[in-house]
Amino acid sequence: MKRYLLNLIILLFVVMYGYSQNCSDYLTVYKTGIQYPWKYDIQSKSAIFFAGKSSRLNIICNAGKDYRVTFLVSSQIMDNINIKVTDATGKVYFSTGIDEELINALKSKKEMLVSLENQALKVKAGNKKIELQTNIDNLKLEISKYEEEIEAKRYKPNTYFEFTAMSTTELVIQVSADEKCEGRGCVGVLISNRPSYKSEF
Amino acid sequence: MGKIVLITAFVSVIIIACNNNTTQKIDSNEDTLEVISKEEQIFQVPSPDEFINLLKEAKAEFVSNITVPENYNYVDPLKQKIILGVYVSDMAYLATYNKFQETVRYFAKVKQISEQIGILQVIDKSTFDRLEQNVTNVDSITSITNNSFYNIVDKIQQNDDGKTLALISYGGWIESMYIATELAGNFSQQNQVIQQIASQKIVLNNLIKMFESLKDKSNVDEIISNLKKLLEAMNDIKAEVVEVQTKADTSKVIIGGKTKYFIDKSTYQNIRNIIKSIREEIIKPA
Repeated sequence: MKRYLLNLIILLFVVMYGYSQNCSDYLTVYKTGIQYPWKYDIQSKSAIFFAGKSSRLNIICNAGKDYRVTFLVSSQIMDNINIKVTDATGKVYFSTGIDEELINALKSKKEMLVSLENQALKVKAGNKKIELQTNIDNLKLEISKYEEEIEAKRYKPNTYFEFTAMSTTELVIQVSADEKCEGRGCVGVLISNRPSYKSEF
Repeated sequence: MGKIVLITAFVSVIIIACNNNTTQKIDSNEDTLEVISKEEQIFQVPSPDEFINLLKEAKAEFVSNITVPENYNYVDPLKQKIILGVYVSDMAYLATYNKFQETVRYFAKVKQISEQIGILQVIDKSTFDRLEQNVTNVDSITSITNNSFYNIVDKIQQNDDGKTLALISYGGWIESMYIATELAGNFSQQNQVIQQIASQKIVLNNLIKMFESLKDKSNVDEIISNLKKLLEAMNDIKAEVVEVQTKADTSKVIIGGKTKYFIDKSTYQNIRNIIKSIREEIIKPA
């Protein structure tokens, strides 16, 4: 009985620990790694994530500055986190995880391929046949690129996004944990900036 | 019996872990400690030193005696938080324009107020000593003062105190806008400092949303109303993208295009007056 009680206490302790996990200092160590001329930006933020949680972080980027947004994710939830960076109009500049738009685009490309292949079957020879075959080959190439991109975003995502703000602008960083996410963990959005350097002489 | 206890505990754990309610009780990084929504929206604004730097890049000349005197004292807790932002802005202004001795004095004031509002051990004696030793080194002094402010913000975020952060941001932004209007000089639409002031409408929008999204909105109604009044005046500014970057360096992601702001003299004067009156109210000792 004592052993079971001990197990129960240990189990409850583990649950309590997991439940009270605090991600508010998640960026403390990482921010010390920012090197000149990059500078820490106080708009950086970290939070705890679990199945179904989503966050929209609205930040302001000043004109004439380069920004680097680095995403840090606890290993236990890494495969279940989706990130998207958009402007206020919804234009997507960066995304990781399951990209529904890309998946839909791939689906329509595949449908188009089937339709072209059916057309090609009906044409026996001549210029029309060559033209159709060229279109099919191009489409296949495009489809394989889409598949690679979907795969990369899902399983080998970039961990940072760099850009230059030409005007003072608002960006929305959307982070979400999908419903399959089993654990809970921290996600940090570490923002740094520097004056934008002109690349030409 | 033991097995039943263990199974019950295990089932409880599963129930807790799989809780799909829209809110959950956890220790989080939000402005309230208790409850966190599954869907949250956070609004941030840049630190005051960023805007002050842009003013310097816009060739604004230093103007003396525009900062809040350091001998002012504030006892009201709400006011202390707002005024901390004001002094952080003043400190950033002095540091950016290489006013070393003054920066050290304002740094001491920032330290004093942060301790008054309960943010302890963020600026320790060694930081202060380092500042005094580097008092003629521009990069060191701005780095020390900026990092100290970033540490204050971090501490507030770790304390889940969104309201304090909003109040400091409010004080800091209003003071940096006041400084900008003082440095702008004569009105002209082409005046680069005035163009920078006009570009801040987007920051003002986020600042308002920052306050509106607070769980605890007590005593912030007047602040929201002040900011909305200013937004109304800034809504008369029109913006137009005049140059979209199409450059050889395609590896660089460019967001937005070079923007020109159209602002007439009376709109600018109105904005300037509103900022001045809000700032006067903020810095009044209380």
